[in-house]
Amino acid sequence: MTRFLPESAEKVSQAVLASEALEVRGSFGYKIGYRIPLEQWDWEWLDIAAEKAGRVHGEAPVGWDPAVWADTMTLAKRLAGKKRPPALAVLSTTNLGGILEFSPEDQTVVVRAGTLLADLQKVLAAKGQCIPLPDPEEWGDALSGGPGTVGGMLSMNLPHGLSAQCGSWRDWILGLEAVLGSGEIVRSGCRVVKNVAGYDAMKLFVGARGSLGIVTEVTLKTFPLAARPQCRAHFSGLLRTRPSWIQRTLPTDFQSAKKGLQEFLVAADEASSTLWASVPRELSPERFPSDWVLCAKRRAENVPISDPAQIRLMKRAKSLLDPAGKLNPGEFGFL
Amino acid sequence: MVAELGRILAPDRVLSGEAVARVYDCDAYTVERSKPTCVVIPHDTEEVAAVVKWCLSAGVPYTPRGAGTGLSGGAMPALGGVVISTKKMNRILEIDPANRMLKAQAGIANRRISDAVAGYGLHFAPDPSSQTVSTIGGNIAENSGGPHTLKYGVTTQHVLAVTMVDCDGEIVEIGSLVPGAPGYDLLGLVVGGEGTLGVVTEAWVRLTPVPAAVRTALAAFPTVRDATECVASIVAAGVIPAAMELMDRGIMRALTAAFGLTYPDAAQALMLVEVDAEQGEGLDPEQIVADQMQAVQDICARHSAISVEVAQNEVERQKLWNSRKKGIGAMGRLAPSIVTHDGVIPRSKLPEMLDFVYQVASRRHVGVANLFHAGDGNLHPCFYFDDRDPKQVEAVVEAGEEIIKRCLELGGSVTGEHGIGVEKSDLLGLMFTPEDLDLQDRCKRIFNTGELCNPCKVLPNQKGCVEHKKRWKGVGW
Repeated sequence: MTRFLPESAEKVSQAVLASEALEVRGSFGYKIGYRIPLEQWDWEWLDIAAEKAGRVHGEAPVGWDPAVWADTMTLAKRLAGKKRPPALAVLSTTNLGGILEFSPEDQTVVVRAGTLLADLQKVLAAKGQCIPLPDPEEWGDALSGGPGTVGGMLSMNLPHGLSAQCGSWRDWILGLEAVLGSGEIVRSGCRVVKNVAGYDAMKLFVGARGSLGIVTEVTLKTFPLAARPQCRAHFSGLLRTRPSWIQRTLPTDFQSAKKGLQEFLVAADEASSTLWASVPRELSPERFPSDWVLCAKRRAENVPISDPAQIRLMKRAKSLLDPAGKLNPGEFGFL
Repeated sequence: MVAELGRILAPDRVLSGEAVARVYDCDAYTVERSKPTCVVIPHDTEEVAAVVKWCLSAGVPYTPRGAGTGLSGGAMPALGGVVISTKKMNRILEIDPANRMLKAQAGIANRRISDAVAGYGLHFAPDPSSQTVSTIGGNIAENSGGPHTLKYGVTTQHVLAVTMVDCDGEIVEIGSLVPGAPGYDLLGLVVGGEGTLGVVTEAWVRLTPVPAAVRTALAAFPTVRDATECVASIVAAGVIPAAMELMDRGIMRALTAAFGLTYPDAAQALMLVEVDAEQGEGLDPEQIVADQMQAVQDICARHSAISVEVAQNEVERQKLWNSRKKGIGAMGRLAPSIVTHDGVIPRSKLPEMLDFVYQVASRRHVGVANLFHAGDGNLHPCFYFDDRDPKQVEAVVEAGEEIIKRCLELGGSVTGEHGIGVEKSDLLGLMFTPEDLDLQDRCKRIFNTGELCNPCKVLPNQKGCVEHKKRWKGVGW
């Protein structure tokens, strides 16, 4: 398998142009399977399943758990008519690190996407600034929304324990540079805290999980360390636990949702109505109106989006920014 | 066209004729004008969808319009056709105080939202100067700001979801009542899309608790540089004021002329600063704002402030705010016309940038006064002049261009809150490369692949627009 370790946006662009399909690694917060990563798409298994589906007309074959079989069918249908997977290359942003410009008086920092958040926080803290996320050493990985690289955390846009008080990546990002799936190196935004010049393209990359472009550089607003609010979340104390279930509800449903997850809870933040839990795969926690869930290891259930209009618009965005579907194929389960 | 649209809505909700065409040929950006064929006044989302479908089938351009207070021509019907006015779509549809959110039609005035939920101790935080009339639909289109955005953020941080008639005439919902939902941030494009990505007809907005305690002060400084450096020091000290606004000598002169307000003789700049605090666990909001205001006063003293006046009650507070809110209106006393620019620079470049603004004004012999959101680095130089003198008009236009270009050289933006519209589309090419603009074009095409929904806005060199540009200029004069 080809591995790319580009050290510049130009090299990223070359890698994109030279590949049939690229998985962006080192770029994501932690390996959560909220998407269906390509290596987990067991193509051979799915081929067999698809073939069986044709023969047994949807009935689970002997020895198959009906639930697993149903999930398999969903995936098989999605793959119907698709060719064998393209040759997959891997791109890591490990060599795309470093802080390019930090202006404490303007409260802005320009940082390359492969920089570890922890390294950035150290540099910012020396001048009394920070990115307003809870400290992972005190609040653990779940509540701190990481750990990971700046580009990866922005691309995953996971909830964190200060989002009600300080906002999130979409509120902190002032500008970015990215390499699109079509190979162009593009910029959006600039280095000032208030800007409405043109379409806010950079917002599209926040939470896009690397499926539209590979973020190479980010300009962020920094926050005075002295004014960072105290995280008020309830926390189990399990620092390195990676939750398999993240749920955010309307404030009025928060207590019921929390009660339902009780014994599996890792953290609960009432201010943003967010719950982090390690839920066994066989259990299905209760859902609430307008809530959303990110979960792992639940196959088709991992796909967090069901609104047809949103799926249609997301597919349109994908076809415009990554026309050949090269970047992180399989992302969100339908891209 | 008028008869057919009259059958879709009602004949009395389709306006046409010379007077209507003149009223709707521009918004608050009056330099470029283009007349619509007619104006429709729908009552709800379904009626908007019916109008849009008719426009699509007839190949007629359409442009949504709220209160028409926009400052970059976003509501100007650039290629004529139909103006879709939201002025009768001004109902509040649902209030959910427990979840701090409210659903309203797009034509409701910004301020009415806050008024409707004041009894719950809540308000809608974005407060553009036009808030008593400007609509939530218009605020969403322009991603409007206001003095309090320094702490509370702009419109995009306060919109949860919208109902929109898309460019195929279909009704779609974008966003999520529970924020941060997985998937692409499509709402992030629609807010600030300047009404070119569809017609927003309803919105769920986020409500914010009214601060439990507020302190406001007005400080006077002997030089503009002292004031701008003071702004930087306040932020560096970790205080996040709710608002931090600067006014220079030109604004003070106008306020004195118009309203008899007086300021210390030696004052060259005023800084209005407001701190506030929410009711929190175990913290006394009054104590928090008292401590913060003390910190602000100490910093002002270190930066040679001549005086710092702290409001002791709401009446005094409103009086201090007058120096900010009445500033632009007061400019009318200095000259028949004013043009307000909207540039952004990194905050630390404010002293340097203001020196440049004064140099440009004196070199070109035009009057300038500055009033701006200092905390955000968002500059509003106001040139005052006599628009009956073409030489002065030319000087003002050229001065504006010089200032915007300087903003870009200092790493800033061509607009902080007024938008691109038709006014600044040619300036986008100074800020972005052709590849960057192509990315923006792709973003537009996610929603809008045709040429009928609010044409000729934002992106330069759009098909069918270039030849019209000359026609717009000066039509109304």
